[in-house]
Amino acid sequence: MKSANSFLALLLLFLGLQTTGCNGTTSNPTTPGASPAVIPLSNGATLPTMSGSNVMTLTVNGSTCSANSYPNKPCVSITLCSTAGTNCQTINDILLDTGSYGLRVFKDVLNAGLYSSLTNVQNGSNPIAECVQYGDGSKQWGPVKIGRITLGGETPVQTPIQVVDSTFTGMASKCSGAMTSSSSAGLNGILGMGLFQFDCGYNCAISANNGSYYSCDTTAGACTGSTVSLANQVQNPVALLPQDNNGVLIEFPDIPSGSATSVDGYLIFGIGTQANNTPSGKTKTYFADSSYGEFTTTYAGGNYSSFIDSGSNSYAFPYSGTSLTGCSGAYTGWFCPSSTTTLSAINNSVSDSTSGTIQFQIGNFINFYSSVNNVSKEVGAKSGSGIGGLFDWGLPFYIGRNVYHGIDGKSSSLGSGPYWAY
Amino acid sequence: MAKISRFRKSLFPLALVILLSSVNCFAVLGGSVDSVEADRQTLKSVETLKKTSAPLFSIHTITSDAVTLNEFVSQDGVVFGISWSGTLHPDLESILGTYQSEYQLAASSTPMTRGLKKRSLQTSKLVIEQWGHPRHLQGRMFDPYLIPKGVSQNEIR
Repeated sequence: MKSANSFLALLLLFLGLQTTGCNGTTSNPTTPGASPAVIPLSNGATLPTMSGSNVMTLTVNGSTCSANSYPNKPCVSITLCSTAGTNCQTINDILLDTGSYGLRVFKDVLNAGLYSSLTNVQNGSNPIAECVQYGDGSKQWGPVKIGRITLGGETPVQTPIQVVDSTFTGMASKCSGAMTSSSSAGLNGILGMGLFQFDCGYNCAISANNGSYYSCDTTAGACTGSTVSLANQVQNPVALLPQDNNGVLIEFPDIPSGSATSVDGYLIFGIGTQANNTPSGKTKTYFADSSYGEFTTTYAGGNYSSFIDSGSNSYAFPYSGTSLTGCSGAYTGWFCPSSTTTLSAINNSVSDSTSGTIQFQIGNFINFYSSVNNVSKEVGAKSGSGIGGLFDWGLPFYIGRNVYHGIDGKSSSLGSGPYWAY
Repeated sequence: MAKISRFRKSLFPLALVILLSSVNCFAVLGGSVDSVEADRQTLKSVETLKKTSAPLFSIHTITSDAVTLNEFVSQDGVVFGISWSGTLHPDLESILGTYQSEYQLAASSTPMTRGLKKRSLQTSKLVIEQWGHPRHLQGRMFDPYLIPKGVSQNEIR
């Protein structure tokens, strides 16, 4: 087993060097995405080889993530250029996050040439900046700029992105404590490919007091709340593709032993637009609401608003039982049961009667964290004390599943977004 | 969103002026119900305040563009818990009141956990929990000692 692991590590390293660029490398804007190699896992599981211009390699702690990433982190490598298609840079270690919308890259990973060639989104002569917040209270602050993103072999798309920079002029008070660097955040950027096109939506287009978008007087060093049109908001780039723009499919092989050193899968653009993204007859569609992008989950006699989110590394849910004991010390948020526990919950579509039961396992987080493995489908956490919180189907949900994400306002053979299907 | 847009458009310039001057005026944890009433006065026109009475406490709901706050007030007029839901979390500093140092202590001794989109801070006198995803962030805070007898923590939601 040890020698097999060493061989695997070498193979991953080799394939990584062959197929993906590293942070800081530049490439031609027309370079198609890395052609995804099928990498045997330590347990021998593989996916059928996928190819096509709409396919990107997606790894959990594999070649597209930086070394020493936190557990259950799914990453892609993207190419970002100026709107003129110049100063291109391939950036890896971008968290693929189906719980948010649009691309956010730390300024400290961008080449100076690329940063200065990105076009500002402005309100008059003032640059627009954004404060985005996440469930754990972490925040990102920085200017909104227009860049050209290349996703796999798809036609590059031009879209507003956020350059994450806590030193950018006049940080809004709502963003105090915002992330300061890629190294402290543990990632180079976040690529939001959830169920919406726009990161804020209509409210930010009509209300200056939206709290998210600001117009910044760079001379005074002060920012005030601002409306931003939908077109100028940070956007899920998939929705802007000339084809394959109605959603994404994420595929990961199963890891039968519960955990593995890494897992390689695919991020596939479009739903039912190509042979490689056409759902099977068994795929069921679960519609989400169009305000929050959530459906409901019935668990332990309660009904909770819920969501599927590759950017959460755990199943996180309201829990008032006693068999799942919490971890201690720095791992207090996770579960550490003495033996792996099987639970089940029912997901319910919000706009029709579709529902389905999911069985899932929760193992001991500290045992996993202290092992050589970086991927586990048995990681669980309590969302709040008592029965507070949403039901968050995190990265473990994706292991061994094909999950379709239908974008709000776009249609496919599975229905009209927003929806998940699996 | 659609239900408030017509209202907002007509009052938009006024809304901006009022909000800029009053954004930090929410009632605070441990504060008196009078502060809730002050909110209602200050935030009139753009904020809606809804008072719901439960047997052992009342809930005062304050809605702004980015977040809706539910303030839980005991029969003797003390804010014992606050829950929220919105596109942003509220500025915690503005609603923590005298619990500011308690919060700083808990925050500095609880490391951020990468990959977990929730955070719980707990001391003997203060519980703060945040969770959710962009477009729908939620959380709550309460002082376990201020919760009236017969009321469960689960009701602060």
